[in-house]
Amino acid sequence: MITCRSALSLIEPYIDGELDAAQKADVERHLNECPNCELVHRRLSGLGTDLRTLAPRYEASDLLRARVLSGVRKAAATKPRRAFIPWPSGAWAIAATVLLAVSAGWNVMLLRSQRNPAAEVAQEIVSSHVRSLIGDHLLDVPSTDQHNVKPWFNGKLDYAPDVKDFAAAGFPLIGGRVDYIGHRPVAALVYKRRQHAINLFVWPSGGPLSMPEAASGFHLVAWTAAGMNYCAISDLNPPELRQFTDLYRR
Amino acid sequence: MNEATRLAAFEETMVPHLNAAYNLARWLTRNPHDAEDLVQESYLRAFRFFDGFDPASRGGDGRAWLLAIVRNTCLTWLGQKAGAASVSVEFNERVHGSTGERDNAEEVLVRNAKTDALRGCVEALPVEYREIVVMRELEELSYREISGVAGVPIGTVMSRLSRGRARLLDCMEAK
Repeated sequence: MITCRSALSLIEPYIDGELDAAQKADVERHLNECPNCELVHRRLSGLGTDLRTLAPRYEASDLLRARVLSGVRKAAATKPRRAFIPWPSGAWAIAATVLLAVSAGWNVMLLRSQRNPAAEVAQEIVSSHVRSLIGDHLLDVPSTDQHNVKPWFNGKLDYAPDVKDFAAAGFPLIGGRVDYIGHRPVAALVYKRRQHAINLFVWPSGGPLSMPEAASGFHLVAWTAAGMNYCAISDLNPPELRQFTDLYRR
Repeated sequence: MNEATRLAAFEETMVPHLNAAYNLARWLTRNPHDAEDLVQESYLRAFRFFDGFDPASRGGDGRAWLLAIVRNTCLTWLGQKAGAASVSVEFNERVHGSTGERDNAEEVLVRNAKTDALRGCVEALPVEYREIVVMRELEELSYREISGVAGVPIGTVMSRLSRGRARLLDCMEAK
């Protein structure tokens, strides 16, 4: 038997799942027998439920995601960590400039040489998606009309992507652009889901496409159909992104 | 570790916790604009200190490590703000007035009266209780993890959580 005093001190760890099995059993036994402590327990666990179900768990916008990623990448590319050597300031500035240029080139080489082709394409898709969210490079042809978007690609690509609109299902087409991925120009169709942008990349297939399901915090869905590769990317949750790709593939 | 490997490892372990980082910053600052700036700054700091992150000692989960940086960045900022004179006025306007589009978008989520009341009560908590309530109830961190993030002993986590909850219950009853 435990006293009310010790039961009260254990109620919160009990709710928070921080007790071992024996303590848990003690608390449960006491709560069954003591209406006063049970009332305290009910109020506190009700508060927890309210907080988890009603208080907003704020989500980062896709703009913030893009800002964070590009900020970190810029830091990685321009700030190689090297030991500081106290030279005269002018010499230091010149040397720093040279080092910077060399190391930036070196980093690019490393980035290229260390990746396998599929991962490289995935990384390029992430980069393209991020670029499209910062600044104003989301759309070259802003149009919600699929009959405007499709002809726009003529002459810019040597293939014609299938442009569909799913406004009725809550995934409106907002436009398209041409991007450069895997050493070739590709079509990017841009859709919206609430505040989230979805980029759907379409390019002729050169073989089976293997893509990770997530990269850098974004979700990807890739498939191959009728000689074309498709890759959808967004910070949207995976079920909704899947819903979008199912619509497109229908 | 060269920069490319380091960047890839960082993106893999830290970027998935962006929502957790933003949620904590948003509750600590109580407004979206500063929360975004501070999250951005936190990530840059985290990247700079990434060599100090030891996946083995934290079960491979970077969340607690990242949240510690977000927390420190936000508290430093709050401390600097508290030094400026017009803080409380500006704060109230930003919290209770609806300025700009994003506030309105967020309002849509929280129109429900009880939700509003809860949010108001959490935001009214002193920051040392608020951070622990948010980490426990919304991020569902364990006492041990919270103790690591906030840099206080587990006993302190428990007593602050308990006082925070008591205040929330009082506040909700008063509404």
